[in-house]
Amino acid sequence: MNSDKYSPLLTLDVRPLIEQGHDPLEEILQALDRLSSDGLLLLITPFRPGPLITLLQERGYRLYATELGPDHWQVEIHTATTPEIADYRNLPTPEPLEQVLTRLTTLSANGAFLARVPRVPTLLLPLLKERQLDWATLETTDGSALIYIKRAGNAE
Amino acid sequence: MSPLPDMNYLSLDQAPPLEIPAAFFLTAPFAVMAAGGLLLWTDATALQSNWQPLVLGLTHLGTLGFLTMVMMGALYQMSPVVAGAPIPLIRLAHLVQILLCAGVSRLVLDLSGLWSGFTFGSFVLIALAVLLFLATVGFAVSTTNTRGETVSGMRLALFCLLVMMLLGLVMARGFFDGVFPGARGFWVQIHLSTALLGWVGGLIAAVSWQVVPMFYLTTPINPFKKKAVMGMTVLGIILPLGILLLQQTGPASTGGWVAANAAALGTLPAVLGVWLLHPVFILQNFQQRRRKHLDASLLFWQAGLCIAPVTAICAGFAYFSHDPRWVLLFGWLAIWGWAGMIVHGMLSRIIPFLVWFHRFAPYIGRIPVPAMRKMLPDVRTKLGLGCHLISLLLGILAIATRDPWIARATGLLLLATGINLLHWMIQLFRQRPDLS
Repeated sequence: MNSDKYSPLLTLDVRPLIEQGHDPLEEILQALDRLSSDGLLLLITPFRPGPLITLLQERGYRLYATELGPDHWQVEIHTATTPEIADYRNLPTPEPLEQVLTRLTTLSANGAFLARVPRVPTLLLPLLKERQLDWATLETTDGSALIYIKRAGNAE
Repeated sequence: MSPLPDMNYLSLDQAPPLEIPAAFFLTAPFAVMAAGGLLLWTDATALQSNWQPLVLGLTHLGTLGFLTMVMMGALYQMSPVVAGAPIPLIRLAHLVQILLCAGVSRLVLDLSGLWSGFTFGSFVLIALAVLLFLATVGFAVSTTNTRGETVSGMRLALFCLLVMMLLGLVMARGFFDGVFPGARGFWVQIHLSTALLGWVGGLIAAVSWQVVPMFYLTTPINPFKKKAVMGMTVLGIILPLGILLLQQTGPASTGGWVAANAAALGTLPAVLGVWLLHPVFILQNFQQRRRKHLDASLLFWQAGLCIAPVTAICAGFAYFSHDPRWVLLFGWLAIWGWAGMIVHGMLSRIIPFLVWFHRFAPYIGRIPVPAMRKMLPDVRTKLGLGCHLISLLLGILAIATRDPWIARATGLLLLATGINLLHWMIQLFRQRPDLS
């Protein structure tokens, strides 16, 4: 995203803050303020943040926590309107690209599309640009990536 | 909203037109067919000694006519896409292809006794092709800001291509003018190690870091493993070159025998890196792939990687034994076994992808577009794999027995492999979307 105030995909690693003894809640809430209404925040924590999950669920967010390793958790925070994520991580090149482009043909004027792909889809991006679509990508800790696509000019 | 501001995305303007890599790829099967034709015509003559002009011709058909032709085509495509290095004066690629094609054809005609009298000139044509290639692709790759093991591997390969060409030119002059610059075995050994381990091995490794996880859904290759392979390859290239330099400039101007032994020892790290560590790492990676579907291109990779350590063992026997068959076997396994298998397999994956991406992907959702995996039926790749494997085995048998009929059968199978490769390539490059 360029100069937009809100981003559809954000990541925040709070492990250094916790290691220094700080409570990262304020940083997390600030990140959520910068998240677009249908976006996703990827939070990296050293443990399963139970109280945070309860707090944000009460505020209408959907949270999915995954343990990636010792002292390494990934929490996906979806807003109430974050679209369902299509998962193309188990498809070899260029099938994720095929699937994304096919799926985009049914994208409504104000709709957004979110997909998990095996890696940042470099070859897809020029095709999105040619179709006048906007996008944002986020590389996750396992090397795969998230891509958010929306029709140009429909950003918040 | 628009692209992320710092997103390093590929612009379609940067990707070369499809006809650039296509011209190189379509020429490569002719080298395989020519090698098959020569073996059919000359039966066991080529199996007597590695010093025969005909063997030199066959070797360069494999290394320059097939491997280098494909690798140059692939680098024209990879440099902008993978290394973020757009090639200046991209249309000069056609001149590179013509010069390389003319040089290799003329060289083989001369060495096989069909059209004598221009041998050194052929090497000059090849050198011009390489210099022009390096002036454009080499410049782009060496000046790109992109970092990573793939770009490092590409740079190593291009450096080795330059050194290999210079050594080849000096040696060619020595062979044909009778003023060879030093002990032949020593020079040939350094030329070989730079060509096979640096140029071919360096690029195969660099490409594998990128395409293995992408096409076969494996986990990304551990950066430490990549660095280990690259580090050992660099060491095994630099050490023998240093010995050659010292031997030529004076301080270590000992006899050729001492220098040759030192250079052989110096090559060992690259032998271990390219023919042992890299195959082990990639084969391990294949074991962890997320989708277990077995396609024929994967079988090519697995076969080529399994042959790599056997090639290294053969290189050892060739070094210590006086039987010329070990040297021939080593060359056959390295060119047509290890590298030939991997390059043939990659062609069957990359060409459908390029045709699909350039011609069909822009129309997805607008008109019916075929799935990429259906553009080249697996049965065609498996036919190629069968012909390639049988020709490889027959070649080993022909070298061991020196039987002229087995040599002819090898030639026939090489011819069949080349024809099959060319046929499916033409079919693929003719595919276009129906815009009517």
